[in-house]
Amino acid sequence: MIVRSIKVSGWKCLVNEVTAGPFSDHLNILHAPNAKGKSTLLWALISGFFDSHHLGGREVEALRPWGRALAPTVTVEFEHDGKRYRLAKRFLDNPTAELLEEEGGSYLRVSEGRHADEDIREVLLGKPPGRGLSDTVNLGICQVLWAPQAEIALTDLSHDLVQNIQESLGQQVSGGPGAGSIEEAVVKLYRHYYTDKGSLKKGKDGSGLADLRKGVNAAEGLLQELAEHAGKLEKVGKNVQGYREKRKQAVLRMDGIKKELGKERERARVWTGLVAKRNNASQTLETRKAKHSALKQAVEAIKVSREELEGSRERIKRGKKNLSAQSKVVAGCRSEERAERKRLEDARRKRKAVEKAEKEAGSLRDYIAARDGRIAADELIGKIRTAEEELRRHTNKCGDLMAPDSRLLGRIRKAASKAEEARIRLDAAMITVEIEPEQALTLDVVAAEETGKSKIKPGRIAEIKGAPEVVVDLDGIARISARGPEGEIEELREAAENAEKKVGELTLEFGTSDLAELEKLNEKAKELDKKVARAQTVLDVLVSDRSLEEVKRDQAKAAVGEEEILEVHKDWKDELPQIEMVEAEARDKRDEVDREISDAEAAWELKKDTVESASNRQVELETEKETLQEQVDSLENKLAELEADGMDDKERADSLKELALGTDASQAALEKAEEKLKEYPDDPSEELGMLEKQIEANRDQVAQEQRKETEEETRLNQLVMEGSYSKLAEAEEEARDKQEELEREELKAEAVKLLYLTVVSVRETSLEVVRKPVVDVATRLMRRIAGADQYGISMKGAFEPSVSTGISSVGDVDIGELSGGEQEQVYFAVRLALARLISRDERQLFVLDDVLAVTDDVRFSRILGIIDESLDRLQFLILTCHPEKYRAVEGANFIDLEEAIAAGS
Amino acid sequence: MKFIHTADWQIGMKAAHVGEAGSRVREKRLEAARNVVEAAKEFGADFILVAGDTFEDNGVDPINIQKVADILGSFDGPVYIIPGNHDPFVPGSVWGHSSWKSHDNVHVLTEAEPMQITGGWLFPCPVLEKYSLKDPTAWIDTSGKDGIMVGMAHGNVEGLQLEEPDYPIPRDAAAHLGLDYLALGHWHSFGSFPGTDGADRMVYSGTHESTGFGERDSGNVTLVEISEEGQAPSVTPERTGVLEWIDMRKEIMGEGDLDLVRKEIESVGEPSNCLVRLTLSGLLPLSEDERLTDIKGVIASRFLFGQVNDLELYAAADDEEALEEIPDGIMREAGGVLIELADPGYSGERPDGASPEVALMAFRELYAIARKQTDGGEQ
Repeated sequence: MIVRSIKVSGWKCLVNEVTAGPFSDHLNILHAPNAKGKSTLLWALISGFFDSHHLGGREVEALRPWGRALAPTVTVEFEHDGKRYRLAKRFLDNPTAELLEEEGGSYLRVSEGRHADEDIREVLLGKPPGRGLSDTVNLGICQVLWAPQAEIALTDLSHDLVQNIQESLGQQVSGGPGAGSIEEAVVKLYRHYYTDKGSLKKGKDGSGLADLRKGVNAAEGLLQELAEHAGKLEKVGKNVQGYREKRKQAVLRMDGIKKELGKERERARVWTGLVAKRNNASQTLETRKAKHSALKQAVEAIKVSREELEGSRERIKRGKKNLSAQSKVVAGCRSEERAERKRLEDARRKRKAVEKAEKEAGSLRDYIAARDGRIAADELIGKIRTAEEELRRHTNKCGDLMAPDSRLLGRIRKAASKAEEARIRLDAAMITVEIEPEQALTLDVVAAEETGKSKIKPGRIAEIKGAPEVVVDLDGIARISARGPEGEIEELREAAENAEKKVGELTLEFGTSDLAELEKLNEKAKELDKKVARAQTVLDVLVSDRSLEEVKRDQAKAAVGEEEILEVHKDWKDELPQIEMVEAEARDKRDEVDREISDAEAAWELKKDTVESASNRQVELETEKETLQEQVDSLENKLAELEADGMDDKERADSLKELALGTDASQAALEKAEEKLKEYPDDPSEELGMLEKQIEANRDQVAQEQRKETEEETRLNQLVMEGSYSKLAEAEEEARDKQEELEREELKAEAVKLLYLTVVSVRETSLEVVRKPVVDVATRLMRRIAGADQYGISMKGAFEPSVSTGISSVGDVDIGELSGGEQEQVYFAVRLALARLISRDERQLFVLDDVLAVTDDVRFSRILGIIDESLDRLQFLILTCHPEKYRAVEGANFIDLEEAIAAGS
Repeated sequence: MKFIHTADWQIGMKAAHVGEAGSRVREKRLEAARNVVEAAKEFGADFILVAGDTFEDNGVDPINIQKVADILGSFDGPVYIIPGNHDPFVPGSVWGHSSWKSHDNVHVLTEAEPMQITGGWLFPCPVLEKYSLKDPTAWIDTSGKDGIMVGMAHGNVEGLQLEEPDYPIPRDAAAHLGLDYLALGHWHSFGSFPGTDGADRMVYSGTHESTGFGERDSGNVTLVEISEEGQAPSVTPERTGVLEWIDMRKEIMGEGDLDLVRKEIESVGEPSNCLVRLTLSGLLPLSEDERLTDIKGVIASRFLFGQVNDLELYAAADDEEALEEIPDGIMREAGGVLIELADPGYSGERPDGASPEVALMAFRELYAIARKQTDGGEQ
């Protein structure tokens, strides 16, 4: 289909009637500055072909010029299948649509109204939108052929278009009529269950499958809860039965025990009677035995007492005799003891002589010690005095010597050095005049350091120094004057004088400023200091233990002691006895006396023991005699008591015999009672007590089981009233229904998923076949535009391009990553490739609204070449504000929209 | 002596296999119970014997107990009931409910002891626990008693194909114990165990109302007549059941088969008391798919319960006509792929979840959409 003219009125900014055209078969450039209505004209063309004339609503109202009550109208004259048509539509006010066909120079109506809408759409394979104005997907082949402003990209091509392209390519895989709507229905069905990412939908937008699953889970949860509840009924029933059984058993057990108890009570009664008899017999027997025993003991006691009394009286007699003999022994022992005591006292008296000899030896030892001490003190005092004298002598010498110490000597050296340096500087600064006469002459130094006259012999040199001048009169020969600079010499001189003055001050007290002399003095002083120190050390060592005064006191004390001892032992003055001998004699005497005393003491002790032993024995004998006497008294009392029963010996013997016979009779009665009791191995009363306790315990158990039974019965009744099984049955049926519904829905969801994925897979496979010729052409075009062979275009989905740039490391890149210019060039290439395929059987209108705006001049000129080549199949309508860019295309039809608008107004 | 022998009413029974129709099935069981009393009245029965499992469980809603007591109380003669293994006489059982005291003619026999009845003696064998390997009739001693001896027990007659039967009852129990008739409960189908003389003295009456699909000889009571002691009883099953459980299996081989199935379904009388399970197998031409949907609708709406199982019904794989109805191109090719996957014998690699069943349903969806589009287009 190609367009011959477009006439618009009352359409947005195009208020008045505007006719664009006529358009040529080839390239048409519709140009005008911005905002003049180029794009409005294109959208009017689109509306004319695709929108239903009767549409209303806000979106359509917006087509009306702002503030005007004009009805938007569009009239298009076009050619299709070799015929010329006119399309006329009026929107909003009295909307109309009609399609007219030219026949013999005039136009005849083909269809009108809705039919006209449909017929016109059919021309470009469009389809009506659900509501409102047409969207891109409703534009049929114009989705590819017409690129509105800023919409050169290809997005979401409709399925029908893809199929149309497939048809144009003659592929066997293309879908038949209606396939697109089936696929859309499949997609819609799939979206009902699944999200874009393929997971099941949830929530209010979900298919309900998730809710069904939730419902099944909830029903199963309830079912489990009810099943547990229903199980409780049986469990609690069993509990009741159990308690009931236990209670029954306890009652039976109690009946048995009661029977046992009756029997046991009878046995206990008999047993108690027998025990009483046995106890009586036993008591009688014991009484009789006790009496018999008591009497028998009394008879025995009387006999024994009489015998003991006799014996005791005999022993008293013997004791008296022994006591008399022992008194004599004691007297003899005491006499011997007194003799030994006297011998001991004699021996002890010899100790005084021994002590005297030992005292004398002690005095001699003291004397010798005092004498030796005094002599030693004398020697030490002498040494101390010598040392003190030495120290005093060296100290005096030190005091007499005036010498600088080392520190002062250092300062003197430093001052002397400075003075020397000052003098050298002074000498160097002075004018020196040397005169060496050839004959003796008299010099008169008028100005110099030293002035005055002097004589000088031939061969000698007279050196005269001075500053700032030296003037010498050579008597009769000449007056020599030498001058130097003024000023500095006085400073040097002053410095030299100050330095010397400092040396003089430091050395004043030593009587010399000669450094060597001073160093000798310093050395000498050091030597004297050492001697003083040595003398002091000797003295310190001598008085380290005791001071001189203390030594003197010790000396005096020793002398006094010496005198005192000699006063007593005057003979020692003549001859001093040997201390060793004196001490040996004293020791011998002591040994002899000590031995004699020791022997005497031992003998005396022995005798004392003998006296004590004899005396003790005597006391024992006396005590024994008294004890025997007491025994006799006691026995006599006892016997009297025993015989106080009023019976004589015979009567006692008769009574004893009678008691023995009674005891035998009681023994026989006891044995008989015990024989009968042997028939009862245990105490029946104990058994009786146990049985009574058992009865009590059973009674408690019965009560306890009864209580538990009642409690469980109450629970049971509550459970029975709930009718838990019926609830379970209903819940199970409901759960089953839900489960079946879920299974059905899950199966359907799975089926829908499989259907969708199968369609997607098949579609992708067939598209791959269809895309290939488009890719080939688009790639060729893009390489020409870019002037580079490395460009490659590939496609996925419904002709969505991606580009390989020839850089291996980059690979295919998404078109969005290309520059703006490259993007529009790629889309242009793809659109043109598709357009060439679509226009294989019929020339088609190809519209570009202000696209290729950012393409550079070089590539733009290549695109113009491509456009030029495509004019054999396509009618180009280019809307632009830069018509000059297209001037190079031969035969281009330029239409000035501004002029057209002006013509309309 | 003439009496009605019934058992296994299973009142309150759950019917999960019929889903939400379960509550109506339970109602129908009560309705059938009323039929039992009506039959007893109609045949002039002296008494009614209910041989156990009157209730499905001791935990049934107590309202059911009252309803049953009232139904039995409406009989003008005595009714003797023993507990069965579903409703054993235990603490908390249905037999402790006060409703049993509201009707003098209704006797719940919970002790194994002989009871004198008009014309003879009744030896009830109540079940006192759910499981037991004891012969419940072992205690019966008819010696020294005059009249017709009737036993009533709940258990398994020996010789039934059971590993270790609960409450085993000797096959010759009636003869051995000197009973003229032993009324049995536990099995839902009518069955008798003739003695050596050919007389039916041991009989399972079966349940008074069928409990599910495929249950044979159920939905009856047994009318028993014994002319005198030692004579062979006359045993006649009488219909009391209300529900009809129709288990229909059909093989579809080609077009028109589904029409026949539909006609058969539509010919079923009293659909409100019918439960229908239709199992289809074979190959279904896809052109018949809508008919199948129609049948499903009829079954679901017409009957008390209806279910169609078409899992074994496969698409006719060579049905080119069905594919022809899908527009040529992508969609038809997708349809072809799904038909291949729907073939259980398909040897290629199957996508995840693409079982023959899922693939068949997927194809049906596609086919349905295509048909809808076509029809829409035609309109």
